[in-house]
Amino acid sequence: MIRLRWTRERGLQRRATSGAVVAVTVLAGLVGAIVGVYLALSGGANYDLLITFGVNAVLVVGLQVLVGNTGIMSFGQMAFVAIGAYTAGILTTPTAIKASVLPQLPTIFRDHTMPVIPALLLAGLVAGVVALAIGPIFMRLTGIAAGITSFAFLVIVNDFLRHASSFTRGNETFFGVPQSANLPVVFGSLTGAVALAAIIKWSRLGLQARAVREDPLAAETAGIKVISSRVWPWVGSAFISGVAGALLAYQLTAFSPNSFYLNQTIPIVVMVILGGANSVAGAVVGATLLTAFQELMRNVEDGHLGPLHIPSVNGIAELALGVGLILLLLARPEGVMSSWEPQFLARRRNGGRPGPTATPAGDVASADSDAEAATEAAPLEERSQR
Amino acid sequence: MTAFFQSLFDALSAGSTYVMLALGITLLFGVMGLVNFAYGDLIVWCGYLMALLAGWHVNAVVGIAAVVALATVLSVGMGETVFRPFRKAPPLTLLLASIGVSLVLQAAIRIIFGEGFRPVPTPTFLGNTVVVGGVRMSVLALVSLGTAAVVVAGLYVLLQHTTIGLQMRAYAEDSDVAGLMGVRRERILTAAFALSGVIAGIVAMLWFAKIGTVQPSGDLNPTIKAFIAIVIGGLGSVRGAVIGGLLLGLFESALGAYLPAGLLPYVEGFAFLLIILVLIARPQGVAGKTVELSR
Repeated sequence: MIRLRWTRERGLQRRATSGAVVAVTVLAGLVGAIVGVYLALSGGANYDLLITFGVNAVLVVGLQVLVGNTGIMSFGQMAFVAIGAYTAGILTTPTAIKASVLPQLPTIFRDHTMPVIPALLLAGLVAGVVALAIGPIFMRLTGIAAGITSFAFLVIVNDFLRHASSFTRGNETFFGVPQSANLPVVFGSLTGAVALAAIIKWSRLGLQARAVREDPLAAETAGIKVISSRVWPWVGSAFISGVAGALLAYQLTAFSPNSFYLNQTIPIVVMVILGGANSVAGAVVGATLLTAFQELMRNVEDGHLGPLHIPSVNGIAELALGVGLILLLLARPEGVMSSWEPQFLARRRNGGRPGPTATPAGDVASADSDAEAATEAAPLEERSQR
Repeated sequence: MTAFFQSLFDALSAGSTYVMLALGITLLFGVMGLVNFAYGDLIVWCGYLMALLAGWHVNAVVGIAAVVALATVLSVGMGETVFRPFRKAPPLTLLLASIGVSLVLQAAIRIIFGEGFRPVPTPTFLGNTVVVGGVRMSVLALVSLGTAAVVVAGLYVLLQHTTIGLQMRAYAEDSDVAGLMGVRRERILTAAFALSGVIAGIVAMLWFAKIGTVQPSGDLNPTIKAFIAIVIGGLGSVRGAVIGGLLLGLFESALGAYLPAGLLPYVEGFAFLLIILVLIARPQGVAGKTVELSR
């Protein structure tokens, strides 16, 4: 007998954590399935919007892995997205197009192409390797300093992409990537990204990173290496962001370095906060809500509000996003989901134990209560948000 | 030798603008931990006002007063409406809120004036040059140096030798204790935002005299320059902003003069590499010592 429960951040118990990993992954798969069924029933209505939503969700999960586990907000995630997009672009563009568009490309890239999925994984891998190389340096900083440094990294990568013309065509548009961001690729990637995010979160390394997030000094006293504990979430986050970049490349088919810059960063940051930075499920929720909001605003900008026709004004979407961000930070800075996650719990048959009961605090809904209560301290609050 | 003095002068005049850009942001960070991303939008709004005023042929003194007044009113306005409720929030929340403000201000410009560049005409005498010992100095560069000197000196006197300055420093140290000691805390925030706005208005005029055009997304460049300067110098201190701004000017000038031609397009990348190196080697900045970065 398996029950679905909602839980906050839990400790190490393997059974409980694997239940959480599976539950979050199933949730993500379910989102994909619902989208698929909707598309099948409606004959493909809103196809582009739903693909955009899927890509956004992968982007947000990528950032959430970093923010949720380490408490570090990065404004440079688009750097990894750009790296992923250009990698996937170079790998999948047909050789005929590459020969004319990128004549200076090294021959090994120019004369070969790769299938969509391996290129996607390779894009993530390249981003992950870059993150691994700079991680030990970058993860020394937290708070505002980390925000500025990560932004500096984005500027550097952007600068590099704009000038490495033999690989990227520089400021000119990179085009010719086959349109391959279809339903299985995008939502398969989303499910994979969510599974990876959940595994990172509930792994030993993830728990260490979260302990550091709550109190670096106490964690270090307990024998956790502060900086290296942050590196793995950082690398995982870069990997997922690189995959998201590949998806963006498959969706856009033509892009330039400025397709991955500050303007694209802000909505992703808002989605992470909106959903709840400490929750993987929250990342998907945040992406859903903001994608819907942005679509609504785009319609308003074009002069449609449901059946109403209003004057079309350029800038309304931006205005609404700004006001929405401020109100969100005022009203619910911890996000819609806060740090809640779904979790499957197996009910034990032996001993005629009573069914699951909620603790007086109400926030720990534990099935095998005494075993866990003994090994586990109070649930981690989202103090890092405050 | 003349070439060296020429690039030194260019470095100082560019650096003086960066110093003023940095001061407006560093002041608010020092007082309430706010990294104000909307600061660049104050400058853009001033730019549009300057473009309008030039079209109406307004007297120069009135025009300067109007620009400074607009920046001050906007700055105090955002402080009172948006940032006051966040005064106890962590710096990251404040930074995100300021991104929200920046989006709103930029959208408003876009709604009112539309996309695209607008010329910002400035008096022609600013473009004249004076040659002293072989070094060519534009009037604008001299004005900019002079203004920066006045602004820095004025701010120093205000912070160190007046009651409101003392109160501001006390508030920055510990707002609760400052309140217990009789500092009227709501006034301090208003004063800090007003001061930041005045500086934004002044620097906007010099900035657009140099750039010549304004566009809705023109906030990014000044904001980035200010960030680099602040981070190099040290967040939250006036001394840090001055040192950081001048260092940034020197660094850009040196890169422009001595970098091999092939690497010239990467100047911005190098500047940000410098930031990263500084933050990692000295998270408190070159001149910083009191402000804790991850507060």
